[in-house]
Amino acid sequence: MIDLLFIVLTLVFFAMNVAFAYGCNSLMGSKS
Amino acid sequence: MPVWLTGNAVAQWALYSAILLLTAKPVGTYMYRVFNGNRTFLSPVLRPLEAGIYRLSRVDEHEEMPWYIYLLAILLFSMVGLLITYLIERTQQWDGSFFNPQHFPNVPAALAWNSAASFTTNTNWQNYGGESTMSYLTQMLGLATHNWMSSATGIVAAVALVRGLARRSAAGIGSFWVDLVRCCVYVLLPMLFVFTLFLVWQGVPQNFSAYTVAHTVQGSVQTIAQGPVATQEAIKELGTNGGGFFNANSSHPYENPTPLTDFVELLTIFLLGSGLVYMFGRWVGNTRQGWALWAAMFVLFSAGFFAAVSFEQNGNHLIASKAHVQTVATSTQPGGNMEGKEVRFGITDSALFATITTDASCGAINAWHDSFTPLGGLVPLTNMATGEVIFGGVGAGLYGMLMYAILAVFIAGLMVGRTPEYLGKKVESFEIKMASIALLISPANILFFSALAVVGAWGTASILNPGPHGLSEILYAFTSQNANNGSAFAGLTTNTNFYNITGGIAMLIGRFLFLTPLLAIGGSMARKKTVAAGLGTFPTDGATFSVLLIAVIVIVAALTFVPAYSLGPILEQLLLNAGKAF
Repeated sequence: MIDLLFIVLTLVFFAMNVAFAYGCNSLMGSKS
Repeated sequence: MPVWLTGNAVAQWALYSAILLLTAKPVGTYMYRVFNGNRTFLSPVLRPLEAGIYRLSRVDEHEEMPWYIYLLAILLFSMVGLLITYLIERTQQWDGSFFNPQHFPNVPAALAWNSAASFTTNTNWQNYGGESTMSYLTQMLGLATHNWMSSATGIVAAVALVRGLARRSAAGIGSFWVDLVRCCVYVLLPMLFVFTLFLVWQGVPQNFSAYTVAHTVQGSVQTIAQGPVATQEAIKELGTNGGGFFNANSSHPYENPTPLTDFVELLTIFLLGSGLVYMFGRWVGNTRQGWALWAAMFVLFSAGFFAAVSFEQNGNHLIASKAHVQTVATSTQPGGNMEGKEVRFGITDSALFATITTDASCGAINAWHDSFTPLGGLVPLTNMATGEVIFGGVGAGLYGMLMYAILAVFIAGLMVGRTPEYLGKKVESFEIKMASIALLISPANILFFSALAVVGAWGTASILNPGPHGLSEILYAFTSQNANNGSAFAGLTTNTNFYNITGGIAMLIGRFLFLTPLLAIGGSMARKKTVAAGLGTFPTDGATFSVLLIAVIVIVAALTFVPAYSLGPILEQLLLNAGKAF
């Protein structure tokens, strides 16, 4: 059970990092 | 010569600097050829291996990735690596007698996750003693493998950013998989092969034997740990990883047995970082661009070393006031503050190691930074707080320095009222936004977790020394983890659920969240056209730019962290001057 928690924590972090990268890329696409 | 400086310090700094300077061009040129897919003197031997890996993994050698695909590949590769390492640690009790002759149990969950995050991010922060916790299989397959992969990941991230800065009107910044393979095959493999054999020659063990039980002449029993040390030791320095096979790290005679190994270990910490800076200049078509960054790094390194060595040589006046304690250097003893230092290395070599290991994101140590004088300990702390851009971690130092370079041209542009340019490309609002985000991530990461640690017993219960020194210990821990350094101030018990989890998150943020906006800058710059230099163009290939760069780094680091340092090492030094020690 505890292992599952740490695996989920890892997945959540990397998913957030991907979302952050998506936001940066959107910002680049919107530049004038 | 003043009491706080010795001829030994000047001589070691001069010798080290001269050799580092001489290696920058050949190493940088070699890496330039490797990452451009050019033939090198090792190609006849290594090209079949490279091509075989591509065929086996179905990687297209000519693929080009946009920056976000490049980043996604890094994230995916690192995430899978982290999870595999976690599972290796959590199952090591079944490794068998050959790979786990000491029959170590599985690593506890929180510690295993912290260690997996640590080695994935090139931090190598260790909340455990390697020789008493990890099986040989875990050390080799989980940890040493990550030493390779995390180093290569840092290097190729810098290569991608450099490619983005050098290209014109391009959509891609290379292929992560191709860069990774070339880095491992052409850069790390041959260098580590030679370095490992050198270490074995000097006396570093490389075996799978169970620990030797020795009976001393006094009649006590001593357990002598050993194992596959040399292979991990080599990548520990060359890859600026820093995680020791033994808890005592490079002060242990099996990791660092001779004065020669000590010097070569120091040299290898900066070797690739220094070469990468030359590679950058070569790649953008003007080696002076690289030398301008190199000079700024060298000045900051030298300033840090002489500050650290003088504080340590000056020592602790409370100890010096005791008549029977010799604190002035003589031909037979080093003087100064020798607490926490290996007598083989003395003041100079300990200060040199502490400066270099924290300029880079290495984290290997040959002395206990916790035992440095308050201001002596402030030097490694400040080095890490700059983002370790002083030659830096392999790759990470260069991409961090390029972030400061973009900020520096922006500030110069503001001063002269012109659109800033770097390497013939206009630096616009997107790049500044990304550089600002990258700049803010590190202090937010460090200060948030440090603040969290000092407001509750979950953090403060781990402090060994109360008062300002305790705050320094916490600040150092999160600064080290954010900067992916891994050296510890010691004195702080960090193998707790709180420090294992918050530390793991801080390391992941410091590595991957910091890298994201920088690769975005690479992608954005690659798409731009170059413009001809005009009268309003601020030259970035000369001494003026180096000075501006140093000023930006010092001001940014100082403005961000001075309030926290005032309550930690600075207050501790003032109290020490008043006669109170912690």
